[in-house]
Amino acid sequence: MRTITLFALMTFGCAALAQQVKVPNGAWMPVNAKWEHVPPEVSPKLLTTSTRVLYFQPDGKMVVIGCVVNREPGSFITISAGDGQTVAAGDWHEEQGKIVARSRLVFRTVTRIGEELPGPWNRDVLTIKDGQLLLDGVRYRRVPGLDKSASEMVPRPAATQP
Amino acid sequence: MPALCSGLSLRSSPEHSASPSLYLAQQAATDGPELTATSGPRLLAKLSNAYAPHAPGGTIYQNPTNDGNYTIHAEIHNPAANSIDWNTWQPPPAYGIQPIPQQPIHDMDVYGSYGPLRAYMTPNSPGGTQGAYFHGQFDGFGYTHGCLSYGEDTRMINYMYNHMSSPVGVSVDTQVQKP
Repeated sequence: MRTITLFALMTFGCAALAQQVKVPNGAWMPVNAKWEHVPPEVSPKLLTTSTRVLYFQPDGKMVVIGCVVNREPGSFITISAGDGQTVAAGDWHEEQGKIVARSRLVFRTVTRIGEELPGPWNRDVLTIKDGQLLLDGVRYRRVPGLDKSASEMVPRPAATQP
Repeated sequence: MPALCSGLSLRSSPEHSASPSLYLAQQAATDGPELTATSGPRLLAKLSNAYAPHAPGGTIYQNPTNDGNYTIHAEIHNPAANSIDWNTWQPPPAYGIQPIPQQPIHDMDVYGSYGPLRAYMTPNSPGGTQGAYFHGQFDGFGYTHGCLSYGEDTRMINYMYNHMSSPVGVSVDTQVQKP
């Protein structure tokens, strides 16, 4: 009986895990992000990296955010609002075990002279392996601490301002 | 509003209470002739939610600068911005006061977004930084991305850059603490 129960738990546990990785909800950032210390007189613990954050919503919307991420180990991690961003917005769906995403640039903090937004659509195919997303040869890991600041980059109708 | 020492305080303007984006300097720093000459409140900085008016599918909202005390490291003069970070498409972070050239950097209108100088605001209390700057704005967008803006009035930032050589306290909607 115990064996059957353990087997059932393992089976359902694996099924639940598989379900989790198929739906990449939330914020993801590169596994190999290079963190740098800011000057110690400014903040002795603050680490920062320039990177790309992917954010997926359950309703099928997604954004790709070019940004600076700030973190203090054991304290916080967040997208730096003041260091500006680029935001490509679009949607995603699952297709034959992969994530198919399309997005186009909709926002830059600093204007590029002569550029009109939105930009052209880009289509990306992401694979999921060992709980990580793979896009353009870069592995991304799930970072729940970025969910809040990343979610703010999703374009919303004016009536739903948070 | 207490007198300030080597700092500036920004607080909501009662006469503009319908507009949360307007903040006034009630009292400027007391250690310089230019700033002590300030009489009465004047518009100093704009503080607002960020938004992308042309974003298809809606608007991008970000939180405004948190209330609290910050430090601007006026003793750090960063080299003038001359490069672009290809993730953010703007100059990399600078943690002191940084000049911004008027000419575009790799086709990016950095000066329009930040004006001639930008100053990093380090929050004094623990719990996270928004990476906020005290910067200008010459492109007429009328919003920031979680920062404080001096608009096109460069007097305060010029004073910090040219006359202050130690950390400067900045309080946003709260009583100032000397750094």
